[in-house]
Amino acid sequence: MNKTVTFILNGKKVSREIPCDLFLLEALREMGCKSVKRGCETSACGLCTVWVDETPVLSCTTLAVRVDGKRVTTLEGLQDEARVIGGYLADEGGEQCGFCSPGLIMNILSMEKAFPHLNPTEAEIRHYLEGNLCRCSGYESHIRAVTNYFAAKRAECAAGKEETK
Amino acid sequence: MLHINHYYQPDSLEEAWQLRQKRGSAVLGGTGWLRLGEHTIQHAIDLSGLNLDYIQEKDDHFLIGAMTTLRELELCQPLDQVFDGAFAEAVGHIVGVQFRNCATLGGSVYGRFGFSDLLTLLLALDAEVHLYKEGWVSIERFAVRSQEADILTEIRIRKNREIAYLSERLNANDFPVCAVAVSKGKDGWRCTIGARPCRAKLVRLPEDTEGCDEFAIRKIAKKAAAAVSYGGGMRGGPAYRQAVAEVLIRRGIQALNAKGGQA
Repeated sequence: MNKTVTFILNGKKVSREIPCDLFLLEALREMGCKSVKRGCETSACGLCTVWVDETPVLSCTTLAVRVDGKRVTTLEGLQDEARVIGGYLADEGGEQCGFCSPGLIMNILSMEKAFPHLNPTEAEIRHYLEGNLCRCSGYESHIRAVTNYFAAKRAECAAGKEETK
Repeated sequence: MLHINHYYQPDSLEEAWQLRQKRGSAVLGGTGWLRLGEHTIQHAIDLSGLNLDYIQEKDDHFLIGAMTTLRELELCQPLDQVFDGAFAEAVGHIVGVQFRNCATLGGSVYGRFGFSDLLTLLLALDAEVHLYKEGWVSIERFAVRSQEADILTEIRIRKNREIAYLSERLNANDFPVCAVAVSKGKDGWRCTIGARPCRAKLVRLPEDTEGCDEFAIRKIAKKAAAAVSYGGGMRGGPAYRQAVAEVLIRRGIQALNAKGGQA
């Protein structure tokens, strides 16, 4: 059985007729969003992370029919933000094979909404990113990169507030 | 592989229930585990449009809708305050934030999975499950039944128990090797042992658990841990799981007794 699904993908309205058992991962990759990586396909690794209505979810086990009427965001829609975080990861040696990076960056960006004061502790960062597996880095470089990223964001905010005074 | 032949988003619980009576039907929860096996669902029922995503705090209980996500349970401040962080502790280690944004209370409870943290917690809290046609059923009864062709709509949790939740995991976001919840209320002490790795089971603790000394608590924990059976698996053998359960029960009792002492 097929169903017509209409949703906003990275700011643009799209409409497709898709099989009911198609997972969002496949649908998005067929639509050209190759940042959405196929990893474990069993809800374990976080490589396929996308946002549905600004909430990070695993596209490998989300049925594509369920995003009807919603907003879906992939890394293709967050290029500028991704480039900044990619820089912090590279600075700390956190970009190795890079396969986990799109899912990781999507989840780091969603942390900004979860921690509006931009001050997560190291324990909170580790807990929030627990669902993003990486076989290269051992995670320490990721944690340093995320810590530095949030420190820079806080400094940026503080400077902005000073300017408006 | 997953095959879905027909997909429905019903507009009412009655319509969902009618669909559930069809052969080969299934209600979709978070769908996180669907890919782990070979499944053909003739009639997939998606409850997303029925507004079952809520946590309502009443005077003496909480009502939680079946489509509430595990992440919402983890972040709910009233639940956190009333049950001293037990919900966050029980669900906060399940896979990752993205998974918990999808997984639902209804899917977790209806599945009665042997690895379920949530079922372990809710059994100790003496929660009740609401089924659309059958009405309210105690979770103790619900947990031992096989899956019924009804619709789980919401769960009621009374605020009359203190609880401690503990689990042991080999890795941070893995399934637990063993999970234990210990609670006390006016009707006595309850203890559930989950991830045995079979379905969570309830064990009643003796009345005089309150204020016991260390030696007596050890004896109670040993007896409670021995009251259920354990299975083996890649995460641990039966003897290991029982030994872990004993330690977790002891710590749970100690935690609740310590709280009593503070009051």
